[in-house]
Amino acid sequence: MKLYSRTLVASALMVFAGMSSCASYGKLARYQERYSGSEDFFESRDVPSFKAGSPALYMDGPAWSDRALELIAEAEDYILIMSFLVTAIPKQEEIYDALAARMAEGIDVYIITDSASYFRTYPRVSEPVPAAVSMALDRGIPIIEYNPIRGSRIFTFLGLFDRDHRKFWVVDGRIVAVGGQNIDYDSLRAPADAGCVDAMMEFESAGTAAFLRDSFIRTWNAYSLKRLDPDDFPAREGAQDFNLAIFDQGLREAGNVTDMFDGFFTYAREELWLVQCYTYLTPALLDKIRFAVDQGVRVNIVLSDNHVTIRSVQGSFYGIRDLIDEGVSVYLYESPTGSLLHYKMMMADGTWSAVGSANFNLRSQTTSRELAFLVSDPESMALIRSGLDEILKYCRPVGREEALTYRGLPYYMQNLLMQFWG
Amino acid sequence: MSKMHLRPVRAALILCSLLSLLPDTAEAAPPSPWSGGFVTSTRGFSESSGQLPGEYLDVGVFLDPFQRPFLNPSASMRMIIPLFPLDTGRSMVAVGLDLDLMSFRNHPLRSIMAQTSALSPALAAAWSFRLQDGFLHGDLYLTAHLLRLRTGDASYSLLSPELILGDGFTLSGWGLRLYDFSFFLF
Repeated sequence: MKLYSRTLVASALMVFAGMSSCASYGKLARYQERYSGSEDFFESRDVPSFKAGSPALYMDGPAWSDRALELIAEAEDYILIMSFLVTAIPKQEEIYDALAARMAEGIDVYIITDSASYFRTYPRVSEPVPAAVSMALDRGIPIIEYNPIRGSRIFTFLGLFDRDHRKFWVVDGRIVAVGGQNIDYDSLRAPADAGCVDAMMEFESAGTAAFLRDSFIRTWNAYSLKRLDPDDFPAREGAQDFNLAIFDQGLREAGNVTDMFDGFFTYAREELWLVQCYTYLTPALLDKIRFAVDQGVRVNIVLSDNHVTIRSVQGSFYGIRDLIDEGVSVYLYESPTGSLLHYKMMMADGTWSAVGSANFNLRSQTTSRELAFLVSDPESMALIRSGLDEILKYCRPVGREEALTYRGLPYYMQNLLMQFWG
Repeated sequence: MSKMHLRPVRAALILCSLLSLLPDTAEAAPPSPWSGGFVTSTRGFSESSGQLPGEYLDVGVFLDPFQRPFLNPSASMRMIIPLFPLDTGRSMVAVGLDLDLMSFRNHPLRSIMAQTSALSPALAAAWSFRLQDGFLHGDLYLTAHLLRLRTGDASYSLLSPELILGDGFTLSGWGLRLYDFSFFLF
């Protein structure tokens, strides 16, 4: 009876996995029939779009932290910061001190971080790096944790998997920045010191600032006793040169990351680039890739060769063979200084691109709060292409023979674990 | 069951309806995105209550649509399951109303919470009955949540004493909830 039950469950899971895979392929085919292009498709999915201008791309820790300090110094009204991780490092202190100094001058500052900040270990540091929550509170900076991980909250069960992985800044209702950079040890170190290769993309956009302000305040009001009112954080006119779309999978929102993936894999015509730290594939994700390849699209995926943990290396590398078998050209970014490639970017046909926090995995599609900007204007695209060219200088292609060496049991087990943990 | 027996339940319902009509005594706060979630607690009862001796587990849902800083009403529906020893046949359903009396942000227990918290003592009344006996054949539980700590998305009550009123609303026993945690989910 037991054997029968297990067989039944295993069969049901296999059928489910198979069906979800076929369903994903069929779904993209239906989208392609129904909507003439990505703009139509994203409009049908209610993806918000706003006028924006003055794009800038910061591709490493020092570049972004210098700019962040500038933004803090120039702020006239308020600064809202969502950073998945905040860890107690000297650079964090510098940013907090700057924020505290501006608060003393009347600038409002609010920070949301994720409880995952408490559990950070890094290969170059012998002990866990503490979260910088109390460091902020000591300076009087209002900070809250998203969905705190505490013993008393064990009854929320799987709810603890819900993490806010977004990284964004809103300054004065006019300047917005989104990307993959936390205010933490790995993000803010220089690449020469093995800090992450990552990006924050900045724009001037009143509409986007108002949208992100509302998203920030919705999250803040869910976890703080001190409620914020959007009316106290007005948007200010900014540049209006081109359209900027936003995929915000914020508090209690679902499916926006999947919509983003679906848009790229359905409507890329010739070439698709994904730059990702790692990838923990599911049948449905592979299906999206297969759909694009079947349409004649050259799909290229850049993954990081260096990782913070062995489970990331093995979990991510396990999927390389699957990617190659689907017809993907896979590249490994080999940083000369051992940097982690933490940049999350998708680019279709060299003409439209998304930069943000979403990884190409099930967690980003489901249990993580994620955020990405979608752009297609020439100025932003030039910046993103230039960033990709710089990364490709240190990339090497991976062949199927090498990919097969990553298919052992430890790799499989880590891949399985990272489907939920990564 | 006589009409007399329903008086306290009706009174509680009327009180809650009236409270919901009251304007906020504090400055109107921007809305919270939450309106309810799930609740769990562990409790035991005195021998005189007529309940099985042992540990009981509550699981249920609650609605907290107003989130007023003072006199905030909320409603819950729970299953009360005898856990140790397990006897699901004696499980009870409880429908209840809680009333958070007030909120103190500066309270002596704030150091035990990593998050910013408020001390929000509350009173609660719940009508508890076994499904097989029917709604009318139940007991009224009156609970004082003296140590209730509120955070942005949860509340944590510890060591809440309760009185059990049985037939004719006479005192039939007492109980103690070791903890009573509510987590907002929606």
